[in-house]
Amino acid sequence: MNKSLRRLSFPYLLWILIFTVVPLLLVAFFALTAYDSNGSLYFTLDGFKNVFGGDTVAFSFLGLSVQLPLYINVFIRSLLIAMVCTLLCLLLGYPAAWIMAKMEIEHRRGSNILLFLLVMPMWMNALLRTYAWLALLEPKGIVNNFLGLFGLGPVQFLYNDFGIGLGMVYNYLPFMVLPIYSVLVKISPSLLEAAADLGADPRRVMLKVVLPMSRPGILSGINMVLMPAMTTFLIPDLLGGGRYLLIGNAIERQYMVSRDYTTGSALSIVLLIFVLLSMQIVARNTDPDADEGGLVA
Amino acid sequence: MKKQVKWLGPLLAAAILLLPLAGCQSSGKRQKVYVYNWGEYISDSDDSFTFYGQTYQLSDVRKDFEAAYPQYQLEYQTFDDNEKMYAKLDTQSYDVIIPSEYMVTRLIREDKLQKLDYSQLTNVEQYMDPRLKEIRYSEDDTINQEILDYAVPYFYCTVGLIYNQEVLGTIDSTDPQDVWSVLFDQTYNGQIGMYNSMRESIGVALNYLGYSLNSVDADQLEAAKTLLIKQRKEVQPIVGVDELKDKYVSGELVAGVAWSGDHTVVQQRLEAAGEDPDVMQYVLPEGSNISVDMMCIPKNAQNVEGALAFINYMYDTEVALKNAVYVGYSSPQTEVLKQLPEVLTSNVNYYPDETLLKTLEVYESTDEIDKKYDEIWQVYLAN
Amino acid sequence: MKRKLNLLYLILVYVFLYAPIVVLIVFSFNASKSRTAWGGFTLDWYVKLFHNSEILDALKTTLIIACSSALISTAFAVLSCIGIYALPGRQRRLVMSITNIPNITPDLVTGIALMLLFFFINMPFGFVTLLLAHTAFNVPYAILSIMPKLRQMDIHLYEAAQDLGCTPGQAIRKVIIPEIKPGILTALILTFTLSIDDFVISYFTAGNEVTTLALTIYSMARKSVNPQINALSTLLFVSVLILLVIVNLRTSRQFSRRRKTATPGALV
Repeated sequence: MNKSLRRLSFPYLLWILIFTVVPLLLVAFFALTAYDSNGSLYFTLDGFKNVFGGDTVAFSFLGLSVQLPLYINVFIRSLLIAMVCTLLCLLLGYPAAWIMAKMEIEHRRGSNILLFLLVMPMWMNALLRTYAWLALLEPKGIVNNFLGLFGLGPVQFLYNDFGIGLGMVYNYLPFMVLPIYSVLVKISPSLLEAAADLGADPRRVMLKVVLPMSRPGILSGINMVLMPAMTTFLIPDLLGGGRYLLIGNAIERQYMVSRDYTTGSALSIVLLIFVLLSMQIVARNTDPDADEGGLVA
Repeated sequence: MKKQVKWLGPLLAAAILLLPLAGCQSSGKRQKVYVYNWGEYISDSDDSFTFYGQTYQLSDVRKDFEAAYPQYQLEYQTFDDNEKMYAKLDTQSYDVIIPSEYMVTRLIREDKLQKLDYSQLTNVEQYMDPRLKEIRYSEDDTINQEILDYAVPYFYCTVGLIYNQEVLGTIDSTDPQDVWSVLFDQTYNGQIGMYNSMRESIGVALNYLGYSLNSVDADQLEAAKTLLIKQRKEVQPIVGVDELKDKYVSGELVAGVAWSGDHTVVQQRLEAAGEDPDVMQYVLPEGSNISVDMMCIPKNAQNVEGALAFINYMYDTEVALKNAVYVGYSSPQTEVLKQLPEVLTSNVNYYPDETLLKTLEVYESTDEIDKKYDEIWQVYLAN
Repeated sequence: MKRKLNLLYLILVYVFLYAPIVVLIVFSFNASKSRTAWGGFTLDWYVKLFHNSEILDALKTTLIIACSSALISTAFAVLSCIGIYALPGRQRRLVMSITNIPNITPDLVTGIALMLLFFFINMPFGFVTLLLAHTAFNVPYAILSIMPKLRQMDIHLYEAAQDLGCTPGQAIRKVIIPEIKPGILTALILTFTLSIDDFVISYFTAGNEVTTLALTIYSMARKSVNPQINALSTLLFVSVLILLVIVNLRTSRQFSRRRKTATPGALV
């Protein structure tokens, strides 16, 4: 194409410099500096010291209890919750995506409206939808009233890991279903028939053909669920009754409540490095040309 | 592929159709009075309202103001946070604002308020409850002395213990140790309510331990933190704000921290549910928190006459009564006190007497307090 | 039998997804302010909504920001895509991987990074920072929606147009733009949606002066959600639902194809 058109990319190069590269460098910059009493900046490692040191809090997992620094504790807890939530999204979402894809493949109908219904809730504000779970899950809420009919409960769903996990699965499930569906739906029906003709029972077809073929979709789904689940501060804020500290809240509090930009930025940098590293692992497993592709694998 | 245009069309059309919705404003020759108040903090309904057995006819007092003062047109806006209100002051000019006392202190210090012309506030002069002069609004003595020159109390409220009398018996004492002890009692595991805000929680712990609500002493704060962590583990309080009220009504919670205004709401809901409202009682311990929302006029107000008329109108007995019934917080208007149900006004927990009043503290906000409180709150949250 | 089980499973998943929405809509007609107890039917909240300047202002800001950031970022993305496409291979790949950075950075960090940028250059927080921030996170999404369409087009068309006497501007307008139009529309819808639904980035970049709907809801959720917000959400939800159902009925064949290029993105 005409070389003069390259000039059109120059404003964009400037744009990504200002709005992508510089802001991220600024986070690193603020992580290593602080304001003294005169309002001038000086170099400091306090931010990182706060992240890796400071008060210790007991961390219990599988009956094991260790004293860990506050933020490390919070970090590990966030990661664990996010991983469990991603796994649940996958276990719940994969069958749904497969059923929908099969409808499309076998009957070429039905799945449009289902897909549409899957995306539709996103048009209602996510905060409100999450908040509505409170009404459902309260001790005297709708779910417990329903359980009460069978003489069960009341169960304390809220303000604990369960409530937060549920909020996450609820919010991120569509992001798991969509990419998996978009891969599954491309599987040619003749391929499945061929496998069956060659003697594979449905279980083997699933394990040996469908599952391996849907790997890019699964990875993309994990990508779209794990990171948001780990960094959200809304869900623990709303469903944890304001008394639940995950890494997202911890960072948000540093900026908006404590006004300690140094520690907040240090936490952000640690989080970002962690996320980029784990993305790298996932990216290595996806298509090599993915960097130029669309948004969904 | 061309059909995709149809997707966008309706979306943008909807967006554009909704736009004027937000912008319609009738203009007239009347002078505008810009009032900036908390949300849900003024009588705006035409219902009749039964309050402790007495029935009151409410009305939209904003419309009434415009009827009483035809030369003025009220532009009424609401906020939900003192800091947000503060930020808006620089870019927008309001005639009356109604922030909490610590924000008033800050505004006076920054020279952003004008002194009120009391000769035009005849209702205020006549009806303002003298006990409002006893409150210690600020640690700063000069400001404390002159705060009423700048600001007129609108409503006030206290932080106390709401409790179920049938379960706990009557609590007569106002000693913070006696009052708050139920909050830390393992017997009531899962039946205690706490607000999720930092100052209310740490404040209650400090008050229980006999310290100031604005303490910056490291040992005292450490003790408060340990107490709260222990409470969280052993008592497992239910946290929230608004949802707590229904839980007191249903009997799910037996006691908890409450603003005085919330207690009246709980009693009304009990009454509406056909139950005895006196089951849930409220007690205000010494040294607890009081907060006062105050009407004031910013320096850059455009319509000072209108502002004074509005402030004065809010102290009109009929108007103040409607607001008091609607809002449910403690009214600073003496005539209103005579017309409100006696069970309410004779209750020292709502309308504290001078001795109790003198022990109450406002929440001070300084860099040191903010930082220290936030640190212990963070550790508390992670536990 | 197996089909029925499949269907049942899907129904359960959709009940899970729609339960809170049903609760919200039902409670927008609740006469009592309580969140769980039904106090009779009322339209009061809908009436009050139209007199609530706080909510209406937030709605206005949200729509203005969403429309303008969608238009600006898409227009900018069209030009940038053409420019990037004209770059030599290696540079193009570099630019595209930088474009991908905001995509893989957590929203939280993006919001904070932009806040620090505005803070650092001493820009007062308000409408301008909010619009810039929304445009900043929208541009990469717009580019990623348009780029695939540009790659699908035959580049010789552009050169042919110039050989036939078009100026470069005319060639872009008359040849390239019509070719990538589906991508442009996807970009507009996607960016508009992302902007309307954004909370995290607005939270860090709006400051105290301007408020979007999501921010208003957040500040209410910490005290008590005004049923008027339920009423507004119901209105917005139902109007979008009706519009989309009408469009979907007409173009249902195309729906699934489109969804593959446009993901709704990270909404929370």
